[in-house]
Amino acid sequence: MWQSLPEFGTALLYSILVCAAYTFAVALTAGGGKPRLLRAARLGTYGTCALVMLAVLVLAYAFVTHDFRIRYVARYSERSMTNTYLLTALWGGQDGSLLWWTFLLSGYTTAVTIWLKGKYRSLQPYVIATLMVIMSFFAVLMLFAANPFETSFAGARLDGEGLNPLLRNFYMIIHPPSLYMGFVGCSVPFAFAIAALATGRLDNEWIAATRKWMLFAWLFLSIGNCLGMLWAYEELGWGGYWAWDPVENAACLPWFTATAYVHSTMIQERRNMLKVWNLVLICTTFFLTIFGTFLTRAGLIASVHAFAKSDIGIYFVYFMALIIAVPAGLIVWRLPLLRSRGRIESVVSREGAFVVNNWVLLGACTFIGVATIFPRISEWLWDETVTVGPPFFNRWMVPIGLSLLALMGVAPLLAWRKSSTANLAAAARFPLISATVAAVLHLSLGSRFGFPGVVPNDAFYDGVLGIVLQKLGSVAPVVTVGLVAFNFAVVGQEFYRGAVARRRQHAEPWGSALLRLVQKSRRRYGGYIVHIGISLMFLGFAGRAWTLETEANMSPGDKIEIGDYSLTYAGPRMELDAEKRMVFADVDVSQDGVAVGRISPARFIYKSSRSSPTTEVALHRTLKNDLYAVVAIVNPTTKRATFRFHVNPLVSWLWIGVSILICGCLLSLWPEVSLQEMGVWATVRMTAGVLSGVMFGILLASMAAGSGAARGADPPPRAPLAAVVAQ
Amino acid sequence: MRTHRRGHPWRRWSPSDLVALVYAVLISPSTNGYARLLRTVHRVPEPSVNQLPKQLQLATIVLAPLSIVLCWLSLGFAQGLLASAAWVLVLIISLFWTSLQSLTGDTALNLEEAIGLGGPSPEEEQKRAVLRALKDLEFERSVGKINETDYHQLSANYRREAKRLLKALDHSLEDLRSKAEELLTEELSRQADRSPRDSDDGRSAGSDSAGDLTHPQELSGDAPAPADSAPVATDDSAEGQESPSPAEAVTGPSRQCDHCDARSPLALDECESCGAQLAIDGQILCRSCPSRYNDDHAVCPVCGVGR
Repeated sequence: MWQSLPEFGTALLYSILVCAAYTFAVALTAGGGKPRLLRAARLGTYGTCALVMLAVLVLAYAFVTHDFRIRYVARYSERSMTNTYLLTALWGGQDGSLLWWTFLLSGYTTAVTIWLKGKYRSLQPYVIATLMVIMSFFAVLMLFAANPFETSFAGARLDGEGLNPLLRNFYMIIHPPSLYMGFVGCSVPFAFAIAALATGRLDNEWIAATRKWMLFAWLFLSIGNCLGMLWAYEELGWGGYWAWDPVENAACLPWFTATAYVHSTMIQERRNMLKVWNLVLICTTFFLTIFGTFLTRAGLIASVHAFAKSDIGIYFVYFMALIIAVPAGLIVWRLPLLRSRGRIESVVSREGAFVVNNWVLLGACTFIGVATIFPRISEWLWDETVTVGPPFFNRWMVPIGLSLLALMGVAPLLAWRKSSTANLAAAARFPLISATVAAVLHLSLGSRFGFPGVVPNDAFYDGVLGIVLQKLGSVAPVVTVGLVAFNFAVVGQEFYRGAVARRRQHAEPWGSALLRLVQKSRRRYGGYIVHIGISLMFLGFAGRAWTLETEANMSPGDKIEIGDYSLTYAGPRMELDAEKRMVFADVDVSQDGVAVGRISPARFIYKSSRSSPTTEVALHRTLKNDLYAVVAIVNPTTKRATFRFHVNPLVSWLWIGVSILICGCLLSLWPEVSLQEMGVWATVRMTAGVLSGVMFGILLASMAAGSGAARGADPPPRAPLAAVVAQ
Repeated sequence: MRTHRRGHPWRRWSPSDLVALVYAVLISPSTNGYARLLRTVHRVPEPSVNQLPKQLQLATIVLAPLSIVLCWLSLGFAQGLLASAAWVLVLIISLFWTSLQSLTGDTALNLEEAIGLGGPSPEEEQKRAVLRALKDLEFERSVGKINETDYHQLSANYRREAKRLLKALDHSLEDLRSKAEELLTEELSRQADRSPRDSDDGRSAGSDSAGDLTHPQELSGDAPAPADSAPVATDDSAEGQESPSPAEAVTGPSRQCDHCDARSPLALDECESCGAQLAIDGQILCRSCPSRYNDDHAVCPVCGVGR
């Protein structure tokens, strides 16, 4: 065993702090246009990032060699875990996740530093300095509050406690890294913003650079949140995918502001307006990533996702104060340079639509943020803890979400500066007709297929507000379908008009015209494809209005009906492996009288945590709906089992929408301008594309395997995805 | 480019030389440090200082993952992690050492970094942003997103801005252009001084110097140096780079190229037509290192780079 490993690891953390400070100092000094110092700063950056990588490698070695002298290793691993889960345990706990955050930050810092070579020379030193400050913060955090190399007072144990069984699945491998990639990626635009403010280089060229980095971070925020939804859906067993848990909310807050930024930056590029607004959005996005981390780690709000409460909160408070104070001071200092040269001349314009869109997104972000921390606010104000749960969020987010969906469709129809009535009418004709036809069809035929257009629900509040929300909630399904059709029509029309314009200019066939159109304006058409993806996601969200659920206590041979499905309980069976005992309850499924296969919800009882068995969901997926089965209790003597069945309509469209969103985003990230950029960006894109592709390839393949299993193949011993990673 | 070596350096090195080499790699990874160590330690002719560090880098890039994979396969995953950690540690030491050397001024900037210093200026970056906006505007017009009045107004604004930026860029290059011309004049004078005799091909200090120095006289004149005129073009080829055949264009003192028989002005070291090195008094200036060698050598004896 490496005797001095814990001390070496701690020494590495000190080295990271010292080297980050050195690089920060050299970078700041290079700000006066000294190329030799800039070179030294760049090399110092690479060296500091390599130190972080070394720390990760050392911790990984400690896990793989079961060095239980280290408290973190003993807490989150055990000898029976495979190497895959041992490495996954790196980010399974607080201390390691902070090191993992720092590692991802070092990756981004390295990529930015390479990308900046020969570009934005006056901004470079300050970008590097800002990133080093952030890295120093995390080094301080690890050294003084959450050291992953800290040893146990009691010395090395014989075996560790192991990873929480809920975390021993495929999604745990990919969800935290992808979400952290999104969080950490927001540091880069923030660093550019600080550099632009510090140097006074506030023209539009740095915005174009920042937009790609923010888009990249946004991509991973989207992937990370989606994977979180998938994890909740398939692992937690409550039948849904988003419970408005504080940690979930904290993860989506920066997504809203990042979305607002990638839209409003176009206004600055085009019209040289909203400079202060864009800077505020970038800084707010970064602040929210730190705030979200603070929420999950400081124990401020109780959550099933949260790390154990610790003393780490005060460090975050100081850092958040710094993040607010420094940018605010710089913005005030540079206000004369930030004054816009233009103004919004008409609300009925692209700029107007984007500004309204920004306000709605920011409003949604504020609403969710305040509601999330409302228990604390109410405690401070009234000495009474008032919690808000999923029903509150579900009611209020309906009008907000539908507003966003509508704006998403309207904005592409509007021209810059102002839209004439004639132009707007011509552009909106086809989408409006499509939306109306879709809504009418839904209202008239929806009930026949189990999707009525109007779904009555209960009032949430008394009074006018309650009635308004109730009515909105009731008509939300048909309005959603109409708006989705509207968005599809708008995007289709944009592609059509662009192709027609190209054919007029270049006399190309339709196929070539479409291809060249997308090639020449990847950013625009990638954005339209993202809109399609989001529309499909809204369709998936709308499916919640038609959810069916039932609970049943069944003996072998008993039958139950739910929706189109007829379910017959075949009986329980048990299997064992090295880690756990698995109790399956086989259920035969028929749909409309036709047998479609067998599903096997299960309970897993891990040897390391017998008192906390996990629920393994069984799913039968189709494009129309998901049959979702959970077994709560199985009596080994009588073989009676208590089940909960859900029919969740249109959920598959949610995942399909995310896949399309990812494709659109990757298309937008493709460089349009300079071959010189392609070096680093090609690698970054390739990495992002490969990561996304692999994640969703495995996901879709496993979905297909799971569906195939439910259609009459031999039942797998456990849920399909878990079988893939059990090896 | 091919490197001609008199003997493979590795075969001549003793174990102590290899130790010194490893030491050099670890503590003096910069070009200058390595070159200095080579000169003091080895007895073989110094290879190109531009090439060996790159070869070492290439060897490291190949060796590192190979050794990690070998460790992993033969000794286990944990040892593979340790091997990775070891290589990362070497990298860290190398990076910080070079960083400190840069800080203290011990290393010169390499060619790539020097070129990087001439990276896009703020005006250049703004120009790109404006041109991008113009491109978007044209597209919006083609798909009918913008009415004609607004299009013309916006287009005029962007074009005005682009012109302003182009003028600013030209203006910012003025000083650099003058400086380049001064340096060129000095170098030409130095080279002219080095060629001691008048020859049959009409070299003279008087009238030919007028022809030979046509370019410096033009360049030192009041007119701004046109960007598209070749710096050593004569009167006949003042309008552009695509001059007629060199034999017709060169009227002043000139030399004949051994490869293509074209004539190029005396001040040039490379043939205008085919780019081959031209000998001055039987001496050729190496294109890689700053040394001169006899015309009868096919390659430079110092660095081995061909003509």
